[in-house]
Amino acid sequence: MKNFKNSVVAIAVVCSLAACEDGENGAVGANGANGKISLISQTTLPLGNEFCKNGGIAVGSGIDSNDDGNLSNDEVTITNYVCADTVKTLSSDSLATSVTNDWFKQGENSIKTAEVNWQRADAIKDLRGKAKNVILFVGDGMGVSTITAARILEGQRKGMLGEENSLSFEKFPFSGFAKTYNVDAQTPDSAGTMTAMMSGIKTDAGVLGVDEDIQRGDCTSVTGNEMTTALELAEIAGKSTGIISTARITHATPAAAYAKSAERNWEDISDMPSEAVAQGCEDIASQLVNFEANLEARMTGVDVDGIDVVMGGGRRHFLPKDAAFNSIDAESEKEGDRSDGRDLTAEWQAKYTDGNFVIDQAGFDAITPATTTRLLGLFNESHMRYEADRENDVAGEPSLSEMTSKAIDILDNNEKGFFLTVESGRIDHAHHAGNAYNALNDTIEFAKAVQMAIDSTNPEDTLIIVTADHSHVFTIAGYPKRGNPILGKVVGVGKTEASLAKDGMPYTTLGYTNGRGYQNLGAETDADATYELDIAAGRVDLSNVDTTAAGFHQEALVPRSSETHAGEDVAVFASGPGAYLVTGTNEQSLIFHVMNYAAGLTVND
Amino acid sequence: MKSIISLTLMFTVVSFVTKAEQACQMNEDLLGAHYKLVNSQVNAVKRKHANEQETFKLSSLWRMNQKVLSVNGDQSTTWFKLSNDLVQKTAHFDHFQRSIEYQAKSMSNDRWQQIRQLIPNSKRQSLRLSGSKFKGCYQQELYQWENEASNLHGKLLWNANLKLIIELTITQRGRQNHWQLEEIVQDAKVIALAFAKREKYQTTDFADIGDNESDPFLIKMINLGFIKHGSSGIYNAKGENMAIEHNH
Repeated sequence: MKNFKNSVVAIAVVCSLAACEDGENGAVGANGANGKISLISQTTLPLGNEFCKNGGIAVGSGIDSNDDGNLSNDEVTITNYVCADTVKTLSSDSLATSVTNDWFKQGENSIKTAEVNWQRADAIKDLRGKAKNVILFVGDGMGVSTITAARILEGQRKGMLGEENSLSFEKFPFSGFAKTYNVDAQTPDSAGTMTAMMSGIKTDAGVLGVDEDIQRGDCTSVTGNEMTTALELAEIAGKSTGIISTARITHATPAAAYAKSAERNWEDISDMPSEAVAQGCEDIASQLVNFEANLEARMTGVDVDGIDVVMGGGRRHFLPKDAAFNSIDAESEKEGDRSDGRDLTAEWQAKYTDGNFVIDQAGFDAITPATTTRLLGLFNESHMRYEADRENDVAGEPSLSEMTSKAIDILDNNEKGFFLTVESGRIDHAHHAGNAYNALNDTIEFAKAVQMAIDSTNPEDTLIIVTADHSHVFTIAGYPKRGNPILGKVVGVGKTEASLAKDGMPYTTLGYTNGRGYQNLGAETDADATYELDIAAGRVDLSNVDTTAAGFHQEALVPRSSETHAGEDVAVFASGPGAYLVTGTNEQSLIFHVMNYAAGLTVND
Repeated sequence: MKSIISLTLMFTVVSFVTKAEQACQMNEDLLGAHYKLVNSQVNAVKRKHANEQETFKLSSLWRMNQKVLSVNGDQSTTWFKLSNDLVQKTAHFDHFQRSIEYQAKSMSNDRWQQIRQLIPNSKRQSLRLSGSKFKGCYQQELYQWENEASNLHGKLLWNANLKLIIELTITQRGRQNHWQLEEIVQDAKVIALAFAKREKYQTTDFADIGDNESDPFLIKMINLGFIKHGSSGIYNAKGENMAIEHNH
């Protein structure tokens, strides 16, 4: 701070006034002595001066009492200081240790990238409708800790230390957080959360495509509470549409895109109470096959052509409970569950004679995207396999990234664009089973699928959003050193031996707050193998256990038959037109509104 | 104390089985076997209070071609061997009329035989064959074994044609676990019904349990745990595994 001390320049003028009487002027008196002169002096102050740390000028003032024309120090009566300004910027030389640091350079590059991103966003004066294509990726149960751990695992598989790695969608320019709670639940389920993302409203847990006025399980409460989804709006807009999931395609997350149901478990008619059937409610699989007719019936004047690409698991809900309908891929005596005798796969093929129905890898591989207009792929009787377990499938299944790539290649044949939702459904299941290996491995495959989408689309006309429906009670704990295997036991900084807990036993970095707990199943790639074993929550001596093996199940604190969801916010990543609308912490239902706005799916009065 | 019961005596005890078998029409792939399980103390003092010490339980084993149903109280399990040799398991909770379906898995022959016969061939063949005799149409074999170190004695009466346990007794440190075949069901309709009634139960995929917190049945299962022992193999009336230890 500048410190001015204003001096008072004292100039003494002596004037004596004598009283005068009328009469002759007197003689001119002798000249008086010269008055003293006031002088100022300036002294440059060096850096580190007592009064001016950054240097400056000392301004002294006083009477030149010895009349030598100079103001000596002893004649200075007042000193003011004009200090040099403090240093506001440093030269690169001064910052050498900082600017040459790789982390520092990486941060500077990120700022440049962000600057460009915001300039692009600002340049678009009217964002509405700029996204020709929209892809919504949902990692089921992919909370922030799952993303972090998967990022490290992917990095370590690449030969990196791991922590510095980024999954494909973590490189997206914009991100934010979503509050996941359901209207009636602090910790949510997939039905309520995906309905929020697809329909733009928050609703109760366990219900699909309906608002909170619904009574779960009450068929009669559906009518009048149906919401319209982004996929339906895209259909109405003439875009191509697609749904992909590694879970059953009738499972809650994919079903929220197309079904209206008072109960997520009504996947086929055998799952429904007879009362609900009698009241006219339609099971979820049937709603998928009848999507076109149902939408046209609900929306007067609408003419749509149905969902163009559907791929996932869940054949059981489309086939009659009759061994005669078993496929070569059947994994039970009677593959189908339907008690009404309907073969929905046959109905779909009769309805869409130009369509391709496939059930295995060979059928999938035979699909030529350029000439395919419609595809139904049901690759498993129930959920599709974990990515690590795919090779054990009887007839073979495509990976999530393969399905994503092929779906886009089919959907982008429509010049009006497309809407696609892609779910990695088994991240959630691996967590429920307490098996971090499969949860992270499927997250890595999910990131690969996102990369496929990035590579197959134009960022100028395609909005890609990546998020999760909810989190899990999955933790990254302890103080492992940098580069410590993320699936391994905690080894502290500077140490080579595993850290020991108060009980004298080592512990893993990854763990669960609740669930089934420890299992050492070696090379087992099916996380669900643990369900046939006893619950083993609590501490176990892991000294001689390979915790990085696919079949290792992490310890859990609270014993339960199944590990649970968690209630914290999830991350949302976005790229493409309208992506910058994804910022801050918002209700999960905002995701629908971003997609709706960016793609111009509805007219805003 | 080593307990030895002669073959003659055992054949007398199970004479009702012999009668049933005399029709010679029974098929090892299509039958139902009802067992009575008894846990008891065998020393003289405790035997005076047998009513207090004994535990009874009924169990049954059903076979229908490549399907096996094991019933243990109000919990039961169906196993189905697929044409590709994978085995799919479904756990039933008869009281709730609900089922949990598990993914088909590959399974060793020993494990499949343990489910289907209650004892794998390799284990049975490692026991000492102390007698063999045709009774009616079927060959019955008596196996005995003991392990002095663990004070364990066992005997198994085996129907070699039907691959079925007729009687199994394991005695260890004064405690005796006993399986006794009570009845063999041949009626195809009755056998089919045992399977069919459980097929009608509402099923839940094992992987979906965690997503169904509001389901009262699943909440109960989540809190109490699922079926543990007794779903296959040999267990006692309390559902505890019966280890067939022996000297080779």
